[in-house]
Formats: sequence, structure tokens, C-alpha cells
Amino acid sequence: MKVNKKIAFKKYLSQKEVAQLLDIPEVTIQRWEHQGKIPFKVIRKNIYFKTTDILNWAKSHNLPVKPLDSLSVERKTTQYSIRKAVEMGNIYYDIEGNDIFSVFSNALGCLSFLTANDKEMLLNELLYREELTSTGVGKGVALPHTRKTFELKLKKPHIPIFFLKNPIDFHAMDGIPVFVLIMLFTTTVQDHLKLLSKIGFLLQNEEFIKILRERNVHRNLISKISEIEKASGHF
Amino acid sequence: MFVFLPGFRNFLGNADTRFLLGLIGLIVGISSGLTSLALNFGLHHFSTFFSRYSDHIVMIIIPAIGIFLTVILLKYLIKDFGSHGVPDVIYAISLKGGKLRFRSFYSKLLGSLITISTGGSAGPEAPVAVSGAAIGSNFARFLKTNETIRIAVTGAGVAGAIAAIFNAPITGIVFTMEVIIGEWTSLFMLPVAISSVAGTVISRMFNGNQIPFEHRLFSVNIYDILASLGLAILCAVSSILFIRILKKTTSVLAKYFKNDLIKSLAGGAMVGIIAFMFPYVRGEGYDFIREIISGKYQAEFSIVLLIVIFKIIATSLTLGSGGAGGVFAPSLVIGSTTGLLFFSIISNLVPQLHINDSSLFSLVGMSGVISGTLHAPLTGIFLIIEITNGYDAILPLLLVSFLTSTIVKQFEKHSIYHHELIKKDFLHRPRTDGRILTEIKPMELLEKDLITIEPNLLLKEIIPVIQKSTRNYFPVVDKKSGHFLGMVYFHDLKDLIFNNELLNTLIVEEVMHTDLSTVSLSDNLIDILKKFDTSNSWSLPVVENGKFRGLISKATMLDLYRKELKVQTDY
Repeated sequence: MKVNKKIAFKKYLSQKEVAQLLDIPEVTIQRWEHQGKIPFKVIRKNIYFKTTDILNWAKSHNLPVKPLDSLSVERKTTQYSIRKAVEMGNIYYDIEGNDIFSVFSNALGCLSFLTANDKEMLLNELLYREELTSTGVGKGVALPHTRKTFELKLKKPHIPIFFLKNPIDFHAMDGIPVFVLIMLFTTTVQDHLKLLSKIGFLLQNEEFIKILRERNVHRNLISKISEIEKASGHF
Repeated sequence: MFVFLPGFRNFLGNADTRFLLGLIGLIVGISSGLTSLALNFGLHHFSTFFSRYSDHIVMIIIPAIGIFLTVILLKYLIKDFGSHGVPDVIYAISLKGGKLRFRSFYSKLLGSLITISTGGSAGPEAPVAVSGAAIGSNFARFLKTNETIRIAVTGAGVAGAIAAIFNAPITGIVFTMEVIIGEWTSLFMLPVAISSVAGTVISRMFNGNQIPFEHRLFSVNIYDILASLGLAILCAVSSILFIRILKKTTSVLAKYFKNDLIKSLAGGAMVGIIAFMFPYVRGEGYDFIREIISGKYQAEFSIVLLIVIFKIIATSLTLGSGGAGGVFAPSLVIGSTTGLLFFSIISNLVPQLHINDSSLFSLVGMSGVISGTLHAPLTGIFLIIEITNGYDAILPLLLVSFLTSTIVKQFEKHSIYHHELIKKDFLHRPRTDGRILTEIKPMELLEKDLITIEPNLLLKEIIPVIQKSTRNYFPVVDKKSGHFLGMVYFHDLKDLIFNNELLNTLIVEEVMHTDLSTVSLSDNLIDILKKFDTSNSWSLPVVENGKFRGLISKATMLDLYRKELKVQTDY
């Protein structure tokens, strides 16, 4: 849905824009024009809606109006692929540490997009989450995540990948020591769930696990993710 | 001159709504005022022509000829036959955005001219009101205004016509608001008031500022007010009789006479016989009312009773057999005679009671019967005050009018104008459930963002579709013909898709529902809602000529329903 970003500053709105603003089908707006229920102007046989008129009219009839600036950011969620998120988050090798705490703090230390305060907050949250149940999903992979990342106000989701120097015990279900952390930094609940399910899908792919185990170089890994995403089609 | 018309139209197109309404109200008021004068003039001259022979035996067949000619004119020449007129206007305002055909402007006018002047018992008010409404409606259509303005202007036409025919501006406004439009909003008031004033001015310019029914001055005492309680009951009886006999006569005549021409002759002949015995039931009856109000007419109790009954029967026969005209003037005649009847009952039973003369009671009786038959007490009160200059009778007027209409409503739920419309489900006042459901079109609720699947796919193959879709249901469509076959609900799949064997063996055809009720875009929302209730589902597939078009869901409907209600509400 493509909407003019400057809608808030527009003096006149089109029928389509009014329909979006009021969340009402265009057919209904058309009927209201015929019935004289909605104010509009006719300029050279074209119908225009004055923005202030429409806003006043909606207010006087108690109709809910979408915030004007929300029209331009519609449906930006779920548009990010894992490939892009991983590129944003980057891949780090040889993270030191012998237990969950040290591994997490070292891993977070690598991330340049976080402030010191953020890192401390996230460390606590991640450890707290780990206490509830392990995020080790098996096959030596862990997905440490927390919903607190929404508070970071990131513009796009980040998925940094950390390869550990020494595999450590994560209390994973299959008991295999974890050698790689895939960390999730998402912006909305929708993003969070979508990306989580996508990663779940990736991890079912044996080839992908194999490439992870080989601690492949940055480029190979990303191209493999991209390949799997494309092959699955519905991503 | 016509060169300027498009420019004029453009100018009006962007003018302020209230200014536009006022201006159109003025023009429409003048036109409908003139129309109403024309009918009055025509009636006056034709009636005097026939009244010269009023005692002659030939008068028995004259009403039959009149109604016969009316039917020929309306049915075969103008092709605008059926209904009394006013219900048409109410229907147009309630459901058709005020749209009336142009021929309504003259059809009822000519028809009623023939019917009434030849002695048929009917009133000229309704035809004049219809003409006024048609003028307003067609003028608005010429200017290409929106529906709200068209409705207001149609109402204005009625107001101007009624105001002009009675020289009664307030009655014009009140009748329009109470009976025709049915809601008192400021937007409608303006053109209606201006048109009413314009119509009255036109009427006074030609006829002078005369009071149609002059009466003696009287002072109302406490006995009159107490007695008016009894009058209210009698008025209610007359009104109920009138409404019921009119309904019954119409249906009986329609049942026994399939041919409209024979029906008109038969009905007209009966009217002729009644009118020959009781000449007072003839025509619109204004002269007779004048005699009663001024106190000149005095008669035996039994004679007055017979006049009330035969006026009701004659009017029912005239209108039921195809004559053109309204029930307004007959209601006035019935009312004034009912008042007279009541006076003679009281003065016979308790002669020592110091009540006023018959004039007061006939006056109040008119208001009572108008209130009763039209379910419009305010119209009755203001009409009587204006046409008789009778403000001194205001207390019994108020009492009788409101009492009568309340009593009548207990027995006849809908007024003489409304019952036909209600029966056909044609009356939807603004902000009622029926109105909102008829205004919203199924097209507006159509949801198209559904992903269709084919019947021969494996369950495994539709998993990506389920993941992609934001919905929980999937219409199954035949790939070749594009025909709708059924629906798959995610709800049913929940138990199946976690089982790998089933996922690889079951096909869509086996899990889809086929026993679904479907709706079409041409259905109205009331029927669609009934289907929701009977099928007990939250969404129904829309299928047009076998092809799947989309889905209508209750949730979307509620959302739009509320918004429509809000838009119709004038805060």
C-alpha cells in the first residue's frame, strides 16, 4: 500500500486517502458523497476532500481517525528477511567464555549498536530468560532472546550470530553443548514471532546446521541463508 | 437565458449548504404555492359548474364518470397509478433519497381535479403536497445536489404547498416535519420554513389574507375542558373507523373487481348514491365545514351520525375505487361532524351543563380526527389554530389532539399514510436498524484478501498457503471453471496437520465444507443477517454466478454499521 508520506501536510485528500484515513471502504465513501453525508469540493469535475473539513467532520460525528503519520508507515513489519537481519547484526567468531554468563557478556560486548546501559540491561534479561527455560534449541544451537529488545527502539531487526571458542553446556534438551548463539533483536511482537518462526525453519535444514558447524566464513553463511529463504518461497 | 444555467449550477454546486438550501427553499416554495393556487382555482370553478345540478338525479352517475375518467387518465395516459400520493412521498424520502418522478408533479393534481369536482369524496391537500414534493425533488435533481439536500428540498415542496392551500405557514412546516420527513433537524427546518413562508405569501398575494374557516369568538370554561375528554374518545372512534374502513374497502374492492375501470364505475356509483342522499359528503367538503363551524348547520343527532359514517364510507369508496385525492380534507369533515355529534349527545344527555356551542366542539373535533388518522397531533393543533384563527380554543385542542392520537395508536399502530409502507417494509426512519441495513450495500463489506486453493491439493501442499494467509479460512475454487466448491477452515485442520501421514494422504476436497449458505452481492443486508443467524456462522462466502467473489463477515459489518450510525447522527 503506497501512500504519500506528506499526507499530514496535504491540503486536499483523494477519495482513496480519505478511505484509509477513516478505515472505511472506498465504495462507502462514494455512497456518502452521493448522499451528501461527507463534505467535499468539486473542482473541474473532480472530487476533492479538504483535509481540515474531513478531520472536523469526523470529529463532530465521533468517527475514529487514524493518526495522519501512521498512514505512511503502514505494513512495514514482516518485510525483513533473516538475511538482512543477519547482515545488520553481523557475525562474530571465537567468543570466549566458559559459562553462560561470561559468554553472554562477551557477546554483548561485541555489539556496537548498543550503549553500555543497554548491554547491562540486556545481560540481566537474557540471563533471566535462560533461567525460565533454556534457549538451547538442540543441535548445538541457542537462540537467546528477550522481548526487552523492543525498548531499544531499533529501526530494523538485528540478528547477530556468535560462534563460541569452546562449546558450553546450555542445558539444551538434547544435551549437545552449544557452539553458536543466534541472538534476536526485534522491534515489534509481530517481527519477533515471524523471525523466530523463520529461524526455526532454518534450523530444520540439515545443510544449514552443517555449514554452521564448519564455522563457515561470513560470506558463505549469508549466501546459504539467502538460498534457503528463496527456496522456501513463502518467506 | 439557458446559456447561464450550467454556470448557475456550478455556482450552486460549491455554495454553502445552508445558503443553497435557503435559496432552493424559496424557489420551491413559490412554485408549489402557485401550483396549489392553481388546483384551488380549478376546483372552485369546476365544482360551481356541477353544483348547479346538485339536486338532479343525474348526479348519481357523475362521481362514477369522474372516477372512471381519473383512472383512464392516471393509468393509461399519464401512467402514474396507485396509492394516495403522500405515502409515495414518504417512501421517496425514507428510502430513495427523495427521488420522485417528474410526472408526479401533475398526475395527482389533474386526477384529483376530476375526482373532487365531480363529487368524489376526497381532499386536494395530498395531491398538492405530492406536486410540491415533485417540484422540489426534480429541481434538486436538475441542480445535481446530493441526497440530503434533495430530501430537504422535497420536504420544502410539501411545506410550501400545504402552507399555500390553507394560508397556514406553521401547519406547512409542522406537517412536513411530523408526517413527511419524520425528524426535526435544523438542516431540514431551514428550507422547509422558507418554502412555507414563500408559499403563504403567494397564497396571500392572490387570495388575500383570509381565514378559511371563520368562527365566532368564545371563551372556554372548565366544563368545556372536561367535556373534551369525552370528545377525545369519540374522535378516536371516528379515526379508527376511518382507518379501518378505508383499508377494508380498498382490499374488498380490489378483491371483487379485477378490472380497474369496472372497479371505478362500481365504486363511483356507490359514492353517487350516498352523495345523492347526503349531499354533504360530496367533494372536499370545505363549504360544509364552514357551515358547521359558523354554527349555521344544525341537525338531528341521527342525521349527524349518518353523515359521519357515510362520509367515511364515501371517502373509502372514492379512494379505494381509484379516485385521486387525499384523506386530509375528509378527516376535517369527519372531525367537525364528530364534534357536532358529540355536542348534540352532551346537550341531549345533560342539557343543564354550561358548555360552549357546537362551534367549539367541531373545531376541536377536526384537530382530534386529524391527529388520530395521521398520528400527528401537532399538525392537527396548528392547522386548526391557523385556519380558524382559534387560539382561544387552545386548551381543549391540546388535550383532544394528544389524547386522540394516543388512543388511536393503541388500536392502529400506524397512521393512515404509514401502514401501507410499513407492510411493504418501505418505511425506514433515519438512525433505525432497518435504515442502516438498507443503506449499507453488501459490496461495501466485501473482503477480497483471501487466498483460494484447489480441491485436489494435498494438505501438505496448502501449509505454505496457511502460513502466508492472515485468515483462518480458505475458499476452494475449481481451477478450470473458476467455480466455488467449498471452504476449508483452519479450525478443522488443527488436528490433522500435526500428523505426518494424514498430511501426505488427505486432499483438500476431503476436508472442505460444502453445505454452506452463500450470499450474493444483490442480496440486501437484512437477508444476509438472517442467513448469519440461521447458519450460525461469523462469515459467509459471496458467490456470484457460481464464482467466488469474496467474503462478508459479521465483524466487518459491525464496524461499518457503527460508522454508518455515527454518520447518520447529527451531533
